[in-house]
Amino acid sequence: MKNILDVSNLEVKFQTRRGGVQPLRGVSFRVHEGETLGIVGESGCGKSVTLLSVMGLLPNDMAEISKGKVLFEDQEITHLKEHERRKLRGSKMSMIFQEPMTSLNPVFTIGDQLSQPLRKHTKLGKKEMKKRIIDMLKLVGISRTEEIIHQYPHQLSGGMRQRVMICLAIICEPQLLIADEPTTALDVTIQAQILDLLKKIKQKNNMSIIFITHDLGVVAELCDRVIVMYTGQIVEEADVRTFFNSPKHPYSKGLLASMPKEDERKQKLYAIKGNVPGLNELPLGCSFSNRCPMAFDRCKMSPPVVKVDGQICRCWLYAEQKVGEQHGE
Amino acid sequence: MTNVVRKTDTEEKSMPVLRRKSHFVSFFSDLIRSKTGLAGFFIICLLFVIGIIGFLIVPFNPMDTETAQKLLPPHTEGHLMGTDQLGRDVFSRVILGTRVSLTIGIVTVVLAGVIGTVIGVLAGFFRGWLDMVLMRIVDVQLSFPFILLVLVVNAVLGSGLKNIIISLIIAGWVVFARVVRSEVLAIREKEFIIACVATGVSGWEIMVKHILPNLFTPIIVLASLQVANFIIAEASVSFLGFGVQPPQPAWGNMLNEGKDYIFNAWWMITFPGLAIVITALGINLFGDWLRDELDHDL
Repeated sequence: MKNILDVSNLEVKFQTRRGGVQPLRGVSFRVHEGETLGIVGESGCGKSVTLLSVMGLLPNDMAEISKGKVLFEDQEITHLKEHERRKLRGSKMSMIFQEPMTSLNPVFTIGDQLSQPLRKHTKLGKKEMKKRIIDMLKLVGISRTEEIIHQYPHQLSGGMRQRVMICLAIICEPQLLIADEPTTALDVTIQAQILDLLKKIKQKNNMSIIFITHDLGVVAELCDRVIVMYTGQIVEEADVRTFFNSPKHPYSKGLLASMPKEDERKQKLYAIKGNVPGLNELPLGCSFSNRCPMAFDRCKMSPPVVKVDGQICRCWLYAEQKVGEQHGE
Repeated sequence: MTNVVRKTDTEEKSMPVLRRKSHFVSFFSDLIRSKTGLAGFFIICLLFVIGIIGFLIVPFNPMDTETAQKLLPPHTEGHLMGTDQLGRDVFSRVILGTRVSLTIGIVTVVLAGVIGTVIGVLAGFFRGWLDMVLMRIVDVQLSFPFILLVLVVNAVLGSGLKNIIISLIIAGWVVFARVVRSEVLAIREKEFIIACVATGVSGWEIMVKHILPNLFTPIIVLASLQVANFIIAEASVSFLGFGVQPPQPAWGNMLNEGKDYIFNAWWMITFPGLAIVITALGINLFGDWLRDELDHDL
């Protein structure tokens, strides 16, 4: 299968007043055409930074891609000029955000906002534009489209706004859709509808999706492959079935164990002990070692990336069975 | 009861055209419901009427001096508010002073507002050294008392209507720049701006098309309240002998002339003083209401 996105050894540095931190420490992954890739991990592990650097939306006064490459359709995009990136954004790659309530400009009508990317990236006339907008709104499951395009965001419910956001992101039919926790702020029934919608659109347009989430249930529902991130590194990569059946990295195991199951009622949910360490206080060697229930002496050294049964895992536990080549450091 | 409410709700949603029309109407029905806002609105309307057609209703020429009739108390010989030390009709002078005050208030607010908004938007949007430089200028200016600054600039430029307007603008734009900059800083971090960037909109367009319209409400509210400030400032400066010069009638210079006669001709200072109070009160009442009305979703 063709790669739509190929990120290799990506490192990002943030310059803050108290010195530099490195939220991404060598991230490599690929997204195939028509594939849905899930990225999971706790808050502050670098999921959003990864995707913002793919989109070129990092705040350029403090953030810098210090190393690595991002190939989009075999074109290196990290060194593109701003106006060249603008041509990609919204037309070939686009993004959905977490907060549907604040992601639309309150002073413009829905129709105005949806016509914006079309005006940027296509040469459609007014009538064609309106037709496209109405068709796309219907595609994302909005009825009464003729009225909606004259309404303002505050007149719509959260679920409706998220549908409009999705419509805004896909209106130019991008090859890659990046979804940053698009369902977190919605209630469960709406969540299911939005996920169904994304599946439908993906099949229709043969689009690739990168889906960031905290919710492993959503991953199981939607994704083909999963990446687990921790402190700016990928600790495990596997296809979705293998990931749920036999997670390898202790962190992945912890995440899965802390997922509530419907058929049992425990006194207390399992939680991985401790918190994600700050980026300037990472433990030596494996950054998960201070929270890991299986940590041993060798974890004081930087763990190798090993291939186990088609999964990629960054852990000393599997070092003996090491078959694949070593990535990264 | 709840049934009825729900029904109108759905009706409104299914008839967006109707709803948009009622935007203006609802604004006024809200205004009528607020006693203070309505009072302020009436005072402002009244002032505008007086300002525009005032020269038609004045009984005397406000510049005409008649020393034989000087310092007449109110209600004598057709002088509703009496006469001043040169025998000029106080009522006519107060009426014509309205136009001076309103002109100064509105022109300065519009120009200071435009200048302050442009500078505030540039500083807030581009940040960096531009922001540093502009905001330090604002800081320096804000550390001077407002009236003192107006006086100094006015003393340099010389008196007169045009110069008092220029000095008020020079002293007054900083407030707009400050408020606008802080609003821009808040708006540029909103997700819809990032979402705009993500759909390929350029920085310049984001500033003009997406940030500027969102500033409309705070600017309108600030401007409505600043009008009163500028009118009072003009009166104060004219009172101190700068600003609008006699014989041209302005409330401030009427106070100045009246202060020497405060013990034997109270009307000379009372009526222009009342005019200033009523104007400032009316504008502030309306401005306060406007803030409550418009600010809810920002």
